[in-house]
Amino acid sequence: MVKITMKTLTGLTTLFVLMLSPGWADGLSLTIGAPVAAQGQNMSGPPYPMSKRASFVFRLNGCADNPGAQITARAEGIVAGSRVSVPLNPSTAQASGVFGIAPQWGNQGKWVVAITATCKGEITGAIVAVEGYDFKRDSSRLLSHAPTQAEIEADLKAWNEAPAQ
Amino acid sequence: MFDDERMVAEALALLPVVKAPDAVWVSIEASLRVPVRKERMPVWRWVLAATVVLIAVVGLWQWEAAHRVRWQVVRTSLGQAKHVESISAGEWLQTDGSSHAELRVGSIGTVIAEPGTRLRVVATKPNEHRLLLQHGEISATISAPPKLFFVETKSATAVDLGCEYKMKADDYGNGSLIVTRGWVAFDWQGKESLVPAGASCRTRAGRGPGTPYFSDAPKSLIAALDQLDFANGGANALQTIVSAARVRDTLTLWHLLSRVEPGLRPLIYERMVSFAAPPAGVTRDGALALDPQTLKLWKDELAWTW
Repeated sequence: MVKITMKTLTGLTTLFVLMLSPGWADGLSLTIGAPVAAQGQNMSGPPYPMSKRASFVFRLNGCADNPGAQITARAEGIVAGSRVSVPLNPSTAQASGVFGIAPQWGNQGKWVVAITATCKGEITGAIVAVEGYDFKRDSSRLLSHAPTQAEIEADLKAWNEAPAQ
Repeated sequence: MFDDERMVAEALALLPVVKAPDAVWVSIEASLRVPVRKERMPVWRWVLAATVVLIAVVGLWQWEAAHRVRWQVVRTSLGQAKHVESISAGEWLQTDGSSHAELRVGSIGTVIAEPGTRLRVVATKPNEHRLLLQHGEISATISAPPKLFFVETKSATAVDLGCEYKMKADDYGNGSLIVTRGWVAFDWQGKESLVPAGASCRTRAGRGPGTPYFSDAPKSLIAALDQLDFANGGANALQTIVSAARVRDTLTLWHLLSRVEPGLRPLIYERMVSFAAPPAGVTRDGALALDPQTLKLWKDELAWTW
């Protein structure tokens, strides 16, 4: 006979609730897209109009609390041989979990944008390759964790060594 | 009251009927023949009124001219210094075969007219910045809320929903649109093509905008699209397009869904769902019936791959 304690019951209840939440069902993830993907989204944040001026936009999937999600982004680049890091300020239509990244870096050199998204204790990330204003889908990758420094450096190196597209 | 009225009526009935004497009619007719003497306004009053009206018209015209919105134009010709002028609504801007002109569109952006271009400024209102491209080529860079900047040709109007694009047109309305940033709606008589960055769209006189396609799409797809849009390519052209389409070519397929014969729609639908399952709310029946809400839902999801 299995003895059901209060602790077991609480654990099972928590598991059941988690299974019902989108975050559990699909896992936290990001989708990267061109700015056209955010058409119709009323995005706030500088510079206006953000959705149009964005280099790319991204969507947070599987977050049960979009307004409470934490997003951080940094542009990492090599300009004239020097390693440069620029903190970014994403614009947001946060209620729908859509964010935009404007090119807040110079138009010199190749860059990657490292994104970390946190929602209810879950973390996901992406490293997005950008050149000038444009993002390069084929040279970007989605992660199931926050980008590590080693991953960022490796992707930046590979992106800088990649032939012009 | 009723008795009083009846009594008066009876009294009137007792009165004799007497014929009027002829002299009465003669005098009446004579008075009718006498012309009515009109008071004529003195000439000086007419002159005064005309002068007042003239001054008012000239004043209004000058006030309007002084307050008319003018956009700056910087002309550059080969081997010559830059020349700055301005242009307002109703005026034409033309470049010859060796000159460019940069038009500052209010405070929302710039339009560069390439050599051999003729365009007219149609409206310079705060809520409507509108040009007519008669012929030639322009490059537009706009930073403004959507649907504030328009460029008309004879066969399509580019409605700015984004940032940067190039547009060509000839005098008949044949031309093309190439978007490099943001996205643009290409409209004509209720037909709309959504053209995002990296995509192009051709337009033809009398037919309006064709189907948008990504510039890096397979050549076979682009050629077949030209046949389908402008040369009655039909099912054969559509089969080529569907076979050659890649994931991001759902931009083209989504537009085609509502432009082909109903019998050909399933071919497009099946190809689209082969790339990714449609999102919640999009059903086969809804898509094939061109339900507006279904198509919008699907487009919004597909746009993440464009």
